[in-house]
Amino acid sequence: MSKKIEFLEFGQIKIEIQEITQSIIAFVLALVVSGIIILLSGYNPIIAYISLFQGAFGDFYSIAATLARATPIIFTGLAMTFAFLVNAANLGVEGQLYMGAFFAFLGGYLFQLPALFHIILALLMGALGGVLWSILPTVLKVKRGVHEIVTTMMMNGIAIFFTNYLTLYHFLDPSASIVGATDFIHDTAVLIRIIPGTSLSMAFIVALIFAFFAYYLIKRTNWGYKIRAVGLNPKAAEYGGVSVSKIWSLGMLISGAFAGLGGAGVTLGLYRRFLVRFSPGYGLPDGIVVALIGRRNPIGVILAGILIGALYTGSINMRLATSIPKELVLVIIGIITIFMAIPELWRIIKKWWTQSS
Amino acid sequence: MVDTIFITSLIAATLRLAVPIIISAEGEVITERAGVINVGIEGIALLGGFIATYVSYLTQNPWIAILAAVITGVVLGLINAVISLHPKGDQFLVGIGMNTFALGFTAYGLIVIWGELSAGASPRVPKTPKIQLPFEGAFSEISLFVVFMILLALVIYFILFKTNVGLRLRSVGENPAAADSAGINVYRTRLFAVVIGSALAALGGAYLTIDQHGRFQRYMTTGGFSALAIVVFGNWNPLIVLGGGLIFGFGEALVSRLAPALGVGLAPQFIQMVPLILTIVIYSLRKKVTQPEALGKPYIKE
Repeated sequence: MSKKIEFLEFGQIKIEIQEITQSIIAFVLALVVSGIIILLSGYNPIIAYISLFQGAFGDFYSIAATLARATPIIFTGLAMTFAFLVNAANLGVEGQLYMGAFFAFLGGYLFQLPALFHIILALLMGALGGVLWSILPTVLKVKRGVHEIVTTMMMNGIAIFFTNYLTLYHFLDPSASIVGATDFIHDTAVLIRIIPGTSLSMAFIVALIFAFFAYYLIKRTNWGYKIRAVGLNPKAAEYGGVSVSKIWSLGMLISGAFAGLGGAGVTLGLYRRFLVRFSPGYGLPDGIVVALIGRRNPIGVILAGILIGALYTGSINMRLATSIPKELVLVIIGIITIFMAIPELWRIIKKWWTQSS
Repeated sequence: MVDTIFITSLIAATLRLAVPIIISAEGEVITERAGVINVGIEGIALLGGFIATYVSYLTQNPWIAILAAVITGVVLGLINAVISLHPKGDQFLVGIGMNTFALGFTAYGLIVIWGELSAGASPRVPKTPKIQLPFEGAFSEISLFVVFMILLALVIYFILFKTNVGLRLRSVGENPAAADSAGINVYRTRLFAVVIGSALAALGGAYLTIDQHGRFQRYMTTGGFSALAIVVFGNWNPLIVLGGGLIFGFGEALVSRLAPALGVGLAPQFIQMVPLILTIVIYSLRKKVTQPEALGKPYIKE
């Protein structure tokens, strides 16, 4: 019995190396294709990528900015990881992120507690907001067979309008320098800046803690085992006595909780208030691409989150240095996603390589 | 008299909102009847609309622009099909990837071509001509695409349910293994269906830019996601999809027109939520969804 487990673990490592290879190939190919697009639009791709890299990792402050940009998308990447593991197309991470951010604001604004307890309460409120927003698509799918793609998409729009309404009509700070901002949360609920003068807050540390927690949950617990079993082969899991619909629902709700935590991190760490339409795509497309590059592995998600965060942060410097529009990042992310959808990409490359040489 | 003006402008707005959604949805009916889901039609329509604008800008000829949009759709459809028809390919991810790519590429292209001063929109480009009608007001002219949309629904209905080609297409979506043993090439049929669907989505996007607005706007929505919902609502039947799309367009037109009248005490955000909530309700109330049996499942030849 123990030998069998060891054998499985060894096989697991081999699969993981193949999966990492797939991510690297997809990323490099996306840079090549985007490089061609840059070239065709009359810029120099080499200079573009160098300025991108310098903007992301060039000095202490740019690294801090990159990690800060990575924080929410590590959370949404974890959210999509749980969704992918149970084969749920939870496109609702964006809406769940918004609800999480708003609920965390409520937790930080309406209550008064000692510092640590207040932060924990506000984070839990954020997770709750995300879970609440994933309940309806989950119930509709399990009870009525309604596909989650459309319901979760619609829930995104509803969340954005709903938080917009709550902010403008009930919690608006009219003196704010930004249009559509609430009052500030209490200081006791704030996730303080790790490095003063940058946007890098303790939310990043919270993201790391939750990523390791997710890793433990997936790889070391009975629930995690069931989640993986349902994703790999639902029929076999059902036959083995696992309730597929129950585990599927669990995956969706955990997914919502992580997306909500991502929103909470933005409210408590970055803005310290709720801003209408604050997300530049933290959930969609960022969460999806981070989960994909991270190969549905929470540790991979941390690295992928930093990678995608670096692209966004670096693109600002790239624009200043070369005047290439920063929207190029979305082009790169889109191409990565398409390449990740090609199965066994590494095998195709290897075959092509051996044939041509 | 005020009422006739209100009603005619309401109908005109209904058609404006429904046309791009219905054209994309009719294409998606073909794709899904063959057993493939193309989530990327939103992005394909966006790129189709962008390319059409650019080509109309360059050539000053909207007809060449339409041709360019269709070619764009065919190319994207081929890329999509090659990946999603692979036994282990991921139909859902290709679509999401194409939507993201389209969003980035069009915003990028807008700045590269017309510069930062374009403020999120291209300059005005030549539009396709309208059919002149002998009426006053909102119906003095009508878009060619409206006529095309109605003909399209009828033709697709006829092909799907009254011809041999349609029978083969549907059998590929219902039971690919049986279709295969009956001598039908499953992959080729599906490839064909995805390419046609993508070309129509791109055409829907071209309608928005070179017929309706006469320019491309950054991050515009093309109704691709609504089209996916309407295909299900319409039970994969081209005629019900046509009706469903018109109801959807009517609902949106009505809500946006009644909003100022009803607006007392009601925040505009709730009015904006109505179509989204309605989509969920309609989607959930369907008694039994009779989707193609093999929808979304890759075919693995034994």
